[in-house]
Amino acid sequence: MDIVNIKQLMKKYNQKIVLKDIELKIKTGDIFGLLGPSGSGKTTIIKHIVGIEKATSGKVYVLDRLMPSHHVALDIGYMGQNDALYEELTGYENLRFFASLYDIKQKEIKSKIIQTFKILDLKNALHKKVSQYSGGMKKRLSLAIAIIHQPKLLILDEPTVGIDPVLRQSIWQKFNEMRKRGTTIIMTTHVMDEIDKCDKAALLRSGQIVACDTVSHLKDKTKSGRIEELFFAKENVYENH
Amino acid sequence: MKIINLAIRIIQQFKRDPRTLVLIFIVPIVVLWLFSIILSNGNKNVSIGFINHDDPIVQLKIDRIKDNLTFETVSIYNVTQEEAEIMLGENELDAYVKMDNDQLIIKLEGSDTSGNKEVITKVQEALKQLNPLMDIEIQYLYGTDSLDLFDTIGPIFLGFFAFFFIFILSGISFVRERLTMTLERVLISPIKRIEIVLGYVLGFGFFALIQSILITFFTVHFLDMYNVGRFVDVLIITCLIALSALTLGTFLSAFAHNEFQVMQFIPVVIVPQMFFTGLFPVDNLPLWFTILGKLFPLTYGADILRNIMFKGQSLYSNLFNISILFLFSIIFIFLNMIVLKKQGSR
Repeated sequence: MDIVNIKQLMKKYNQKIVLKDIELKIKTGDIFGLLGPSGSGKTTIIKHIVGIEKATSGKVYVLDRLMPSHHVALDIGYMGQNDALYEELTGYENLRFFASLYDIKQKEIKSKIIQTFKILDLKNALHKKVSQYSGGMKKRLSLAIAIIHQPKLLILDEPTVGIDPVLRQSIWQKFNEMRKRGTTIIMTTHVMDEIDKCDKAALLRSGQIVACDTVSHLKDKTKSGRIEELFFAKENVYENH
Repeated sequence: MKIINLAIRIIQQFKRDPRTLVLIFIVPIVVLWLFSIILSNGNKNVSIGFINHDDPIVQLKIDRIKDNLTFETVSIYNVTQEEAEIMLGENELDAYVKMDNDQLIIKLEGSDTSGNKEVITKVQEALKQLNPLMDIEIQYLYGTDSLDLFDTIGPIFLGFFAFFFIFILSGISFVRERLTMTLERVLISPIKRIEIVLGYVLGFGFFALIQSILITFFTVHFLDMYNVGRFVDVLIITCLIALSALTLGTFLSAFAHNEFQVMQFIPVVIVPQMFFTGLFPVDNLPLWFTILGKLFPLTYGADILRNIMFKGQSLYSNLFNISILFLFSIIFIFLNMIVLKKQGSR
């Protein structure tokens, strides 16, 4: 079953086409990577899946609902490129506020928050103001907000940017655990080696998908086994047009 | 429930931001205090002449007013009409009082604004104890309306500060919520747009209420701002003004890309409102200017405050203006929802 199904998505901002002919199916339970240079349209695709951007033409379905739809909001967890936290509040207060928006019962909120903080090694920072957090801690808190309601679909925009290698590894460990429990994860990245950890990936360039396949198939298509080769290959095809 | 959680979050945020709390709670009080010092140089001694009337019933009424004018700062003279005019002209009297067809006429010397105010205040206080329904007509020997302008300033400033500070507070914190993308995050969650707007109204409303109580109480009780209306009525109107400010602030913040651009709305939205609040007489101005004034909430708010505080009117007799003031907030709430919808799925 496909949790996300994008058909002929096209997006224009003030006459400028930023996404074109996007066809994308994402299978339930996969970790799916969107790879591409900055400005290629990764974030725009993600915003259509989350439902905060509306397609100029084409359709985006999430859990069989045409987006933007309010019905799937409970099933989606989202972490944007910005940490999007209330700096004046403590980590606990931040998480409590967002948890309350996701219909989590008042009784369960406290135990869920503590559990989530434990998972992300933030337990000591529970009652510290976010303005005193380090960059990595903010990122983890932001991730905690995205997963507190145990969404079926977790959408992450550049989740590991600005994070040290040790933390990156531990976050990836969490992703894999969540996948085992059936969570579908979609993430954007421009770090090539992160694609290795995905099941499937789509390569994006200038608002178009240039390749979309399992990661191992994508590698097979290249001579060197390095996925960025596919970008250059396609570039040549375009120039020969 | 989500609305309340959102409101609680806003309150928590500002509890941690003492500077902002000082801005909205202390600064208006200090400015109003300075303002009161400038406008009233202490208690002024005034001399009031009372015209002798031939009709004994009328004379009785005049005498009763005189009996109630037992203030140290007021000297009373019994004079004839001719004497009164001369003494007023030579500035030996600040005003004289006479009755004409059941109407009390106060004729003021007119050039000394603080003296004029003192006369009116004292006579009105005396009247309150007997017959509050007595009609007063105020005339001037020199100049006109100088008192009207002077005395309407207080209520206007009360309304203006309620509006100004809450507008800035709500506008800036909403634009900050857009900038840090927390608003985006909230919009993605299952919360409805109306819940977001109402949560904001409730959260900022809490501060607006405290601010209104503080500045109204302070101006009326400590600064002795002239007020013959009910304190609660003044408070309700101040809150309504603050409500229109906060809904307008959050709405306009959608068109600002940073905090500085919110400040740019001050000369555009706030300052022009001052022109229509009665601070300056607008009677003889072109029609378009008067119509323009009808488009601002503060025009109505200041008008109601003046009616309550200066004329002692009830909320009920201002029902029309109050409805319009409230309607502004309702319209701004809807505009907020439209803007949020646009933001949600551009």
